[in-house]
Amino acid sequence: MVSMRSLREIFDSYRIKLLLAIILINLFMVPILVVNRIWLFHKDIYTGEAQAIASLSAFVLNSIEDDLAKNDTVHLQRAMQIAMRHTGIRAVMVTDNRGVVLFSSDPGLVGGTVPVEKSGAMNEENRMRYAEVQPVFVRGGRVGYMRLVFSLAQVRREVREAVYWSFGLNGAWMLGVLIAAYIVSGRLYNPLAEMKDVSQRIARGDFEARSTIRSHDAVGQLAAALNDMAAQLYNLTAGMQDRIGEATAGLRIANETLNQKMREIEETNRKLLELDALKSEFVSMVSHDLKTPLTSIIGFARTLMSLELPPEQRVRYLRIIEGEGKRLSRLISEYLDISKIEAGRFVLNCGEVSLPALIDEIVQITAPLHPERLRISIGDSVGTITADKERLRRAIMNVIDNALKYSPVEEKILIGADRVGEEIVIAVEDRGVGVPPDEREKIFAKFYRSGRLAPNRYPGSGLGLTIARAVVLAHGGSIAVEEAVPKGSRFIIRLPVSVVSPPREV
Amino acid sequence: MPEKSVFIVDDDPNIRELLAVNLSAAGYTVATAADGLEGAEKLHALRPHCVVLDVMMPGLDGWELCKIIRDDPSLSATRILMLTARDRERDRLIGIDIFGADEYMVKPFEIDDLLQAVRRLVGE
Repeated sequence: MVSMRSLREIFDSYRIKLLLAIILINLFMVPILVVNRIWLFHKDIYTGEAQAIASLSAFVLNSIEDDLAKNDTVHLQRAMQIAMRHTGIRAVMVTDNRGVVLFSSDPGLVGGTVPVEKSGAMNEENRMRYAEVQPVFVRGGRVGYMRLVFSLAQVRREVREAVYWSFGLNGAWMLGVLIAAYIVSGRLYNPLAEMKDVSQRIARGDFEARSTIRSHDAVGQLAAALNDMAAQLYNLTAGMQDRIGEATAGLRIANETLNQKMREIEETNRKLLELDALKSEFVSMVSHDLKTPLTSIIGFARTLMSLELPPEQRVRYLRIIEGEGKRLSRLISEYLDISKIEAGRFVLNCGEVSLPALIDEIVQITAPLHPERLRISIGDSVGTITADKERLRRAIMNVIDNALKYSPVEEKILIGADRVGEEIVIAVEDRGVGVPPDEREKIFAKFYRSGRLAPNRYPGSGLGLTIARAVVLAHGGSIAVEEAVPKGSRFIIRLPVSVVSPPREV
Repeated sequence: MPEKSVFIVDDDPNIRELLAVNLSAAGYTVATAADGLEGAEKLHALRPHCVVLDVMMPGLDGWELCKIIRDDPSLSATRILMLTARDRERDRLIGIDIFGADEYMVKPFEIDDLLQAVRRLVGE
């Protein structure tokens, strides 16, 4: 079924319009040509017929006049019969001057009257008959008229045939023209239609569309130009695709970089928030650490003033005041050290330090608070090193405090020192909870406290190991923690015997 | 009239000594514990009139011990005085409203203030 759209397309087609135009021209032209032809042909026929009638009638008239002059009526009758044999002649008759028929090829008409004045079509009813009338002269005097009646049927038939032929030939000619127009217009129109399709495809963005026309005429050149245009568009868009691809890849990389930066910033932010939380916890801890000894100092001072107490008790309380004062002092210098470490103003005050003597001092300070817990073993080759005595003592004490803090009261702490090459190795080993591998670096960070519970003391400042590491690093040494056997942790401090390189910035 | 009893729970030996000597001098019967667990163990035998409780202690901390006392009907008469170095208002509200402490003192405190607070809670 042909849809309205395709029907409309068909009638919109230039080819159909062309053919319709040809048909219209033919519809006007063919009848005109036919009429023209008939008119010419008709004239020809009638001229020919008139000449034939004229010569025939002259011959018959001559014979009649001859027979009348001889008065030979028999011959006259015979001559009339012979004339009748002519296919065009229907009747021959001779009349007197008044029109009374004297002789006739049809004997029934003798004695009747016919018109004599002129030649012409016989009457309205019988257009197919033509009467030729000629005066008959015998010896110089007109004796009557000869009347020859011709049939025009033959002529009419010939004319009709000519009309039919003319129509037929013109129809065939029209058909031929239409077929030729159809073929020629097809040859003209099809390439144009193809190019129209191709250009529509290009317009829709299909730059791979190509015309298949390869002729050398203007249409072929147009098709070649169209193909060139499509190829250039294709190259252009392909280039653009490449550039868009490159730009997209660039953007993707930039985006990834940006995302990476965002993640880094988020990570940094998270760390800062963590640090901030640690710091406020630290402030709280510092506050607690400082207030506890202050409470003792103020409280015992007040007690000594207000209560009457035995002298020994008074001395003990004064010693508590002194001890708590020292504890306060130590805490404050730890916080100050951390401030210096943070500000990058951590400068060593180095001198010759006897390590066995230093460790002995530390044990003297620590042991009374934790009787029987410390086991010391110092190698013979451990002598003096170049170090900041106060800071090194604090570093080692902090490591020992850490061991005491994170192991049960009944467990011993092993403290060893030995010389290995140009290094002194100090090991502090406990039988405590140990340090899991993922925390072995973190425990040295500021304010970091193991998630594991310290069994016998509330958490300290969270700075002890940080300060210890800072001190050891400043001496050009190193500090690490490893797993002890059968359990617990072992802190290893390595110190150069003499500071060979300038202290590292911490 | 029997003496009023005060139970001191603090992990700092100096503070324990300080509180004990002053409260004894003020006429109270004094007992001490060095951490929350020891405090919890001794509570039922002592059934003190007042507990002076440090907040930050290893093991069982002051808040947890406070809650244990408040959840025990046999200790309903025991008054609780919290001692801490934390002085933030939030901590005070937690101590009094959530854990049911009766009084809250911040270190360092004046001995006279502490004695007055105990007197307010349990009388002479």
